[in-house]
This record gives sequence, structure tokens and C-alpha cells, in this order.
Amino acid sequence: MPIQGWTLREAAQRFCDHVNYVLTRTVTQTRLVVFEVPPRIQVTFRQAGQPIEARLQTRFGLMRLYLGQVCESVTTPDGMHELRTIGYRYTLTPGDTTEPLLRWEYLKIPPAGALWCRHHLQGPVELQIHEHSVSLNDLHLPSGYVPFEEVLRFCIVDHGVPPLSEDWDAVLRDSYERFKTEFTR
Amino acid sequence: MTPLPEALQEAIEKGELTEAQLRELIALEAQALGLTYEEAVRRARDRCLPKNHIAADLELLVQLLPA
Repeated sequence: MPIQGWTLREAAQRFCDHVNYVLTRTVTQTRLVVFEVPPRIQVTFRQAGQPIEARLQTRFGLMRLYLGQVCESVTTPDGMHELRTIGYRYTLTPGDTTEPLLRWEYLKIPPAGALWCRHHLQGPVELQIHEHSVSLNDLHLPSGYVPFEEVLRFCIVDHGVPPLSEDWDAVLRDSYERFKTEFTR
Repeated sequence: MTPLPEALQEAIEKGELTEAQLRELIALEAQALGLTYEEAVRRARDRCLPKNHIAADLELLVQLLPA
């Protein structure tokens, strides 16, 4: 889902501003911060420079949301900087526990020799497979590319996070479409 | 995690880090996890850091390092 700008800064800020707008209309006022280390950028929740999580009140109690993404700039023939996702990490962590219950991950370039699915879901969830008890942490459950909008929708619809605006569904749908059209070549 | 040095905070707020500042940020997050810079980078690349949000962030920061 490339996003463009005449400079890396412009493209990065455009991406960050958009996601922050969606966040403030859906689940949290906690803001993402973007910085560049050319030719790459990182976007994540930060406060005073430190990584933080957004606190969400769900029907199961407190949950903490982490969103983080790394993108790389590719210069197009017309001189625009276009962002390509190198990796993302979205996590949901219950209450005061440290380990996330669910981790959606993507790595464009996995470690050498790794043959597992690059878009996957993991978490400390026990699965019973015949007589074997297997943790989802030991598997790489294929997830396909997970748009951040779908994680926010999951928080609202399945976890009961009170949406921050009446038009949250339209905001998520519009954002998803915008990434597919305006932000995508 | 200990507060970041002011210059590093300012660089993050301005939206641009030098490679040296990126390494400084990685070292501080590694310290918060009880690891050295070298251990943290190695474990991030091997995907065997602890499972918390600082480690998740650190793993993404390592992806910003030049290959």
C-alpha cells in the first residue's frame, strides 16, 4: 500500500497523520509518532520518545494496543518518494500482563533460513492437536496482510471498545479504500 | 525505561534520526530489557527477544539499521 510524497518526510508525515486521524475517530487519542532514518521510517505510539501502548477499555477489561510499522522509500521515475512496508507489529495485551495475547506480524525479509509465513498471527494460546498441546507462539498462523483498520475494527466489534465517533465504521471503511486507491499506485 | 536524553527526544519529535541516534535509541531500549546493544540486535534479528512492547519496538528499530 504505497504512500507518496515529494520528500521522505512528506510521505512519512502523510502516512502518520492519516493513521492518527483514524485512531482519534475510532479507539484512542494516543498518537503515533513518525521518524525517518533515510531511506526508512518507523511509526509507533511514543511519549517523550519512549514506545508506549494505547490503553483500551474493553468488555473483558483493560487491554493495551501496540501499533508499529517500518516502511522504506522507493523513488519513482517522477521523483516521488513511495513508501513500502518492510514490517509491522500489532499487539493486544490484556491488563497488566507483559506478553501480548495476540500478535499480528509481518516481515518482508525474514531471518536467514526462515521458511515460515511472513504474515502471521501468534500468541500464548494453547491449541489441542490430537494428543499434542501446541502453543500458537510456536506456529506462524497465516494471516495475509492485516490492514491496521481491521485491528481497530476487531477492538470495537469483538472487544467492545467504545468507538470515539459515531461514524467510526465509515472512517475505517474509507481509510481502507483510501489505502487501496489514493495511496496505492 | 529511563527517560531519553533531551537531544534524542527532540530528534524523534522533529522526525529525523541520524544512524548514531538510532543506535543510541536501540541501546536504551536494550538496556530497558536488560540486554546490551549487541545482544539486543542479535536477538532482534533472530526474533528471540522477550514478548513485550519495548521488544516489539526494538525489533522494528533494528529494521531501520543499514544492512
